[in-house]
Amino acid sequence: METLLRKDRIEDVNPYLFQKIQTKISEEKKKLIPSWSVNTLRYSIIGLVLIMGLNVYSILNSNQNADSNIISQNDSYNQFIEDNHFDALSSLYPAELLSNE
Amino acid sequence: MDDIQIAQEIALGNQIVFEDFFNQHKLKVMNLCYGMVHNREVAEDLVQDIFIEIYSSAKYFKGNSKLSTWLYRIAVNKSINFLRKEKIKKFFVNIDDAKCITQSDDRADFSIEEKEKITNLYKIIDVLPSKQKQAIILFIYDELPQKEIAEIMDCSLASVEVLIHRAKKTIKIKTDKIYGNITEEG
Repeated sequence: METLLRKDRIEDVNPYLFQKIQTKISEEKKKLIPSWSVNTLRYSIIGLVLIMGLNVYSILNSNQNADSNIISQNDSYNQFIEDNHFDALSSLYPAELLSNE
Repeated sequence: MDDIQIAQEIALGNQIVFEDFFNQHKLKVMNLCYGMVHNREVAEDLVQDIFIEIYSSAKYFKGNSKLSTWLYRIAVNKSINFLRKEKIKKFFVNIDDAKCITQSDDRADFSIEEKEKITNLYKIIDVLPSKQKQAIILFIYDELPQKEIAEIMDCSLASVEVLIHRAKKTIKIKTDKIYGNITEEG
């Protein structure tokens, strides 16, 4: 069995095989996208994601500011009531509004 | 020049070093692929793919093993992948239409009896468990020492000894069965 398998071994290789390999390598090199364009694409995507993140952050932040503005408005409004400024202004206010207050 | 330097030179595109490396290992890689697929043309295509892979991934060689061991590992994996794809193809294609890749009929230096025997041996080797098949092919077709086979297959020397022993035993039992039956019928 071993003798027959050893006889079956290949003793020579196609002399043009290395040339074929070289041709294939150069063909594949041509097909490859240059690394600078891949890097450019990568950094563009990172930049885009960062811009989107900043945008979302600024939107959320502006909402928070708006909420705090409402709170500060409420505080000043309460202060305004505590200081009885409504009474001082009562003559200028319509009777319906005063009854609601 | 050590293995790491050779790999670095190949990665840098040094054609002389790459050609030397190719010439040094082409026959062994060819025989490994041929032993796995039993077809010279397919084996040549695999050798091309293997050396292209070596060229493109030489920069990743860290010297944890010998460069030749790394090459044989790639060769074994490529051959196994090819056989897997062929198996899938055969599953979808009608057996009558399936192209038989065995090429023993083309060997002019083989007698009719030898051609028949080698075809049967191919069939027996092909149904061996994958590890046994790899071990016996690296041992017989590549004539590699068992220690190197162990490194290529990433297992112990004792395991390789067992794999080769079992493969030889299975081949012997099956060939005896085939030719025993022939003599009984004759």
